[in-house]
Amino acid sequence: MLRRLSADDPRFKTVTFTDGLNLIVADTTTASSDTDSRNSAGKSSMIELIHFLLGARSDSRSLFAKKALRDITFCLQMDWPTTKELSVYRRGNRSGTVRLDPDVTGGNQVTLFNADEPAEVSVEQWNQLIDEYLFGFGEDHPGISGRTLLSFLVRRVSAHGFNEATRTFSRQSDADATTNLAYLLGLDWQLADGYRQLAARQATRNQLRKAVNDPVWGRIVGSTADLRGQITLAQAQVDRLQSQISNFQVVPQYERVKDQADAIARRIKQLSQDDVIDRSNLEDLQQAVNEVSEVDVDYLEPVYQELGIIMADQVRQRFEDVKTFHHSVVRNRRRFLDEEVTELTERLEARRVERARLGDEQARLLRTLNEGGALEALTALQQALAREEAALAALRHRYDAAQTLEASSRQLTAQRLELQQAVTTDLDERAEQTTEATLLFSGYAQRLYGEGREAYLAIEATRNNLKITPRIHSDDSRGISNMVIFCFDLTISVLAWRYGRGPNFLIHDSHLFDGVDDRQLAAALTLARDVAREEGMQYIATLNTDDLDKAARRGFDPTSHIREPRLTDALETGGLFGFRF
Amino acid sequence: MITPTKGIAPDRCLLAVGAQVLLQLDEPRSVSQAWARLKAWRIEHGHHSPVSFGWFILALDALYSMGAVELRRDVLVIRSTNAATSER
Repeated sequence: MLRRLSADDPRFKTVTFTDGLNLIVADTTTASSDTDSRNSAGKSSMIELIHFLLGARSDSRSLFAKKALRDITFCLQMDWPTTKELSVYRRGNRSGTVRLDPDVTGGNQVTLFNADEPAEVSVEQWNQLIDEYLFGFGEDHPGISGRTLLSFLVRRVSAHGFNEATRTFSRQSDADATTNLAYLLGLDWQLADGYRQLAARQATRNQLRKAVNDPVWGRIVGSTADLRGQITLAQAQVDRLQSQISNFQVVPQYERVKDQADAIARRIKQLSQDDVIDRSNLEDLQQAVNEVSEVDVDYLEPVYQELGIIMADQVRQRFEDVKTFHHSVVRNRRRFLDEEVTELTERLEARRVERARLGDEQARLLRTLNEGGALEALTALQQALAREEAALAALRHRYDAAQTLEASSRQLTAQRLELQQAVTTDLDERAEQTTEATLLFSGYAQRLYGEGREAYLAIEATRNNLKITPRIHSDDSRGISNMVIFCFDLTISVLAWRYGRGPNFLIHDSHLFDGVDDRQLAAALTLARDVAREEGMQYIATLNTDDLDKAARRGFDPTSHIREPRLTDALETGGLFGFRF
Repeated sequence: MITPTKGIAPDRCLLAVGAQVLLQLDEPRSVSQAWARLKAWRIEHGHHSPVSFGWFILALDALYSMGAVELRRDVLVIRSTNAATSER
C-alpha cells in the first residue's frame, strides 16, 4: 500500500493514503470549461508522480525534468514486504538514481552496523527490486516487466491508458500486453510470451522480406536461386586459384631472367637485320665476281690498235705491258672481291652460329619463365585467393540468410499453430483460474449494472495472440467501456494480490469516471470500497467534485474516504504542487 | 670504241669513260672503289648508257696505254703526264 506522497518543497501539498478506498478530490471551478484540461489541479500529475517514484523512465521531456520541478526531491512512503515502511526519494535533475530508506537492496552491500541506513540505487536496480518484491518475479522473465504491470494497476492518462482495457498505452502490441496480463491473471505467461517472440520474429521477417523485395536492398541478401549460382561461380574461381598456387614454382630473380630474355630477343632481331644487309652485299659482290671473271681480253687488242691509230703519239706502253696491267687489275679486283666474299660469308656463318646459340639460350630462359613466376606473382595470387575466399564466405552467409528467410514463413506458421494448440490446452487445464477470473469480472459487472446483465471475460488462444476480452453487454457507449476497464482492473488487481503476483493497490484517474452515468458512478465507488475492504487492498481514485456530487446524490457517502489535500484549480496555490508552472 | 661511233654513245666511248675514271682518281683508289665511284658518278650525271665492268677495265687499259694511270701496290694512281716516259 501507498502511505504518503511528499516533497521537500514547502508549497507541495502532502498527500496521505490509508487502507481501503481513498478519494483525492479536486474542485473544478465553473470557469474551467471542458476544454480546460483541469490539470492545473494536479490530479493526473499525482499519478505521474507515483509512477516517477516507482521507477518510471524519465527523460528531458518528462514532467519532473521541467525547470520548475527538477530541483524538488519527491518522496513516496509505502509498505514493503521485507520492512514495515519504505521511503523512496527521487529528484528530476538526478532521475538516474533513487534513495531508498531503509536500504532494502539486501545483500548488495554488507551492512553490519548501519542496516537501516538509506541507500542510493540506480533506477534499474529499483525496478528489479519492484519486480522481485511487489510482483514476485523469478530470475529470468522475458516479456513481462514490473513497469508494464504497474501501468495496468496505475493507468496513465498521458499514455492514453484509458482507451482500452487490455492496453496500457495506445501503441502497445497485443503480444506485449497479453503476456503481462497473463501473468497478473495467473495464466502461463511464458506460453503467452511465445506470441510476443513470434511477433518479433514475424516483424523482423517482414522487414527482411521488404528489404529483399526492394530493388536496391535486395542485392544485400538476394534470392537463394541467384546466390546458389553465384556461389558455384565463386567456388570455381577459388578452386582455380588454389590449383594455380599449388602448381606455382617461384623463379628466383624472375625479373632479371625476363630482362635477359628480352635482351636476347633484341640481339636476335639485330642479327637478322645485319644478315639482310650482308646478304644483299654478298649478292652484289658475287655479281661483281662474275663480272670480273667475264671480262674478256678479246677487246683489249682492238682497243690497243685503235688507240694506236687515233693517238699514236699518245700510246706510251707496249701492248704486252698493257696486257699485264689489264690482268693485274682484274686479278687484283678479283682477289679483293674474293676476300670480301669470304669475309661476308664468314660473318654470316658466325651470325648463324650465334643465332643458334642465342635461340637455345632464349628457349631455355622462356622455358624457365613459363614454368614458374616471380615471387610477387605468387603473393598476388595468394591475395586474390584470400579475397575470393572471403567473398565466397560472405555469399554463403547471405545464402543461409536468404534460405532462413524463405523457410521462416513456413516455420512461423507452423510454430503459431503449435503455440495456439499449446495455449489452448493450457487454458483448458487451468479452467479453475480462468473460471475464477471470469466469475470475478461478471460479478463486478453485475454489481454495477444489476443482476442478469451479461458480462464475461473471454480468454482464448488465437493464432496471433492470447486474446483476453472483457465484455459487458450493452450498446457500446463510452461510459460502459470505462466501466469495463474499471471491472477489468479490479479483477486483475484482486487476482494478482490474492496469489502474490502483485501489490495491493489500484489507482484510477478521474478520467475513468468522465461521462459515466450517476448510478454506475455511485455503484463503482461502492464496489471499490467493498472489494478493497474484503481483499485487504487499497483503492485510490482522483475525482472531480461534480462527479463526487453525482455519486453522493445516488447514495454513496464519500465523507470518510476523502483524503487530504483537497485540490482546486481556482487559486494559484490550489494545485498539488502549490504553484502554477 | 675509243671515240664515239654510231654503235657507241658519246658517253660510252672509252675516252669519255676513261676521263670519267680519271675524275674518280683524285686520290689513289682501289679498283673496286674506282668502279663503284664511276657507277655512282654516271648515275648522278645522267649517263644512263650501260657501262659494264669489262668496259671499265678497257677504259683503264686505254688510260694505262696512254700512261695516264698505273697500278701501284694494287691501287690505281694517276700518273702525271709530265713524268711519263716510254718504258723500254
